[in-house]
Amino acid sequence: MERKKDSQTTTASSATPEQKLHHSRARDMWAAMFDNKAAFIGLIIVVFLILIAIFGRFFVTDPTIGHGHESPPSSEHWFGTDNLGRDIFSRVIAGTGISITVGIVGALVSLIFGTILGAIAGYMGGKIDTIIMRIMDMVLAIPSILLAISLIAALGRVYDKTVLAVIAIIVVAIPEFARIVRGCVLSEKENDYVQAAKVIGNRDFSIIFKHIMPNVMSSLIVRGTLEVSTAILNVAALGFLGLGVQPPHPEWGTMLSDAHKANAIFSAPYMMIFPGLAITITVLAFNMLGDGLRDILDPKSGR
Amino acid sequence: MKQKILLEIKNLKKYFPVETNLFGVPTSVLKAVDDVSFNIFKGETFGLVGESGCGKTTIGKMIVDIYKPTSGSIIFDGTDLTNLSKKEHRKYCKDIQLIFQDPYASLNPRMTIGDIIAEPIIINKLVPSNEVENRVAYLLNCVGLAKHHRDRYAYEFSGGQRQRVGIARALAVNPKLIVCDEPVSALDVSIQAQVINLLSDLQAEFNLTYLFIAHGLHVIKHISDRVGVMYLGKMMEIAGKQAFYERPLNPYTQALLSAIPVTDLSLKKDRIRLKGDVPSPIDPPEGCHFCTRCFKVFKGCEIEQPPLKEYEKGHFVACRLYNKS
Repeated sequence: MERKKDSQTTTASSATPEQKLHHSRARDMWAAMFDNKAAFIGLIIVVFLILIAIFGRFFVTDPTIGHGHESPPSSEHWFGTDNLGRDIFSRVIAGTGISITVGIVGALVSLIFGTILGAIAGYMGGKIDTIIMRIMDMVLAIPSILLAISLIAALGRVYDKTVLAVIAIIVVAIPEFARIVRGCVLSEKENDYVQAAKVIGNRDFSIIFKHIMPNVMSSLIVRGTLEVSTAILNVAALGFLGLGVQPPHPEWGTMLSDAHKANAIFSAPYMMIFPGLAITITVLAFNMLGDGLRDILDPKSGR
Repeated sequence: MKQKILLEIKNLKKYFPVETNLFGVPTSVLKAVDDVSFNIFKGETFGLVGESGCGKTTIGKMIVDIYKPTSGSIIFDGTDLTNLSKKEHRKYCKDIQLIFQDPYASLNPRMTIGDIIAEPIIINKLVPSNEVENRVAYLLNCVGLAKHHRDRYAYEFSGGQRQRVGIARALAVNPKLIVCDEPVSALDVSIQAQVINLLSDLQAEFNLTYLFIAHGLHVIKHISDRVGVMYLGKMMEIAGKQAFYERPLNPYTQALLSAIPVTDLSLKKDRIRLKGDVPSPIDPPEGCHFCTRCFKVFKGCEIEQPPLKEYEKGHFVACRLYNKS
């Protein structure tokens, strides 16, 4: 409720003509971002996580080396150590890098492929549309975990399992983007300004990418942000099943799986609490940011 | 006076499939434009009127290649545009432009109006890149906008100003023919007059030819040299402005003209009131499309489609009243 109120006041204040003349769209967006508490908190956590992902490894000990056995959190090991004596704090920090990279790269790559396919399908229509979208429907029917399992079973000996897992995550996410973009392009292309772009002599390519895409961007950004959290969750799930990132590399899902294998749920709960928390916070942050962006960017919802 | 034909529309048809069967073969079609022919002479304004859904906008959009005609030909300056490839057709963007009905939807919300006007100049490489800005400023001036408006977005403007931007965009390529698709019907009356006067001034200045599509007869009367009336995808009557307003032949035209509101009540003639609604263009009446509502209908109207015939010089009508010979 509070969120709604906030964004309503933003709309009212940004609607006055004097302000409109001086405010660019980007600045309006920033203002709306500050007003939307969930989005703002999400953004702060995401920025913080990205900083950890980039610089975190310079501040922690080697996450793959450890001596002894599990020990509870202490001043020396903030999150305790796991059954092999490795510092869990270091492993969680190092795992941030893997998860954030996989999440963002995965979402970005599927966004790019999905956008291209969806834009072509939506703009061209007819047979091309049918062919692309039926293929997308077929891909959509495959669960990401199942695809990863089959890919790794078939190619796991030859190629890096992490890469295969990421490919599976990317492939499965493409139809989602293709559908969104196709839908947006279908509705945008009926607009007069798209027809005007055609009348003044634009090629199809520049009509799609110069005129239609900027107006589809907002839905894409929202979906892309939410897709980051899906990808992170998926890679953690694959890691937990032993299919994604392989030990001794620190990955949150793999860490959970290690804890599970060590029967640590009662004897050393910190082994699963901290990576679990890391997954939860990361996914939550991206979801909050994505939902907030939807409220801010989409004038039809929430305002 | 022999005038040069700039645009020749011959037996133009546009059918939109409404339903298709399992194999994609249309089972019912909407005949938006059904066998329409007319000429537009160089330098004139041809007004095209008709009620909503009669196909007048579809004709305009076929001329600028937004829609592909089902059959028939659009001959511009001696070249049949309907057979051209996409690439060849793009060359004619420089010659034929369109002004849209809705000035709110026709301008890209993410572009400044300067960029909107500059785009056709850049795409068609009309002037060297260092002169584009001068040309934009000149065009803004032509349509009565100020130079400092260049970097504003369309949402900062009123409807009339936006339509001026649309006109400037159409003018940017130095076209020969401009299809004005109800350019004033989204504006209020005081602004309508301004925009129409602007269009007339520009026509004189740049030697333009207009196909002026409208549903307001007062607008058409003000700007057109010749007028065509459409009903349910058919051309009913084509006449010079004077003949059209003084001696309308087709009963549909007579009914339309009688519906113009007059301010002087002593001049008010008997209003012809048509009964019923316009039939669906998916399933138009057999014979004359107007026969279901015509007040002069007689036996045979519902069987035979009357062709458009020249009744007197330059005055064409499609009605069986006039070709009983």
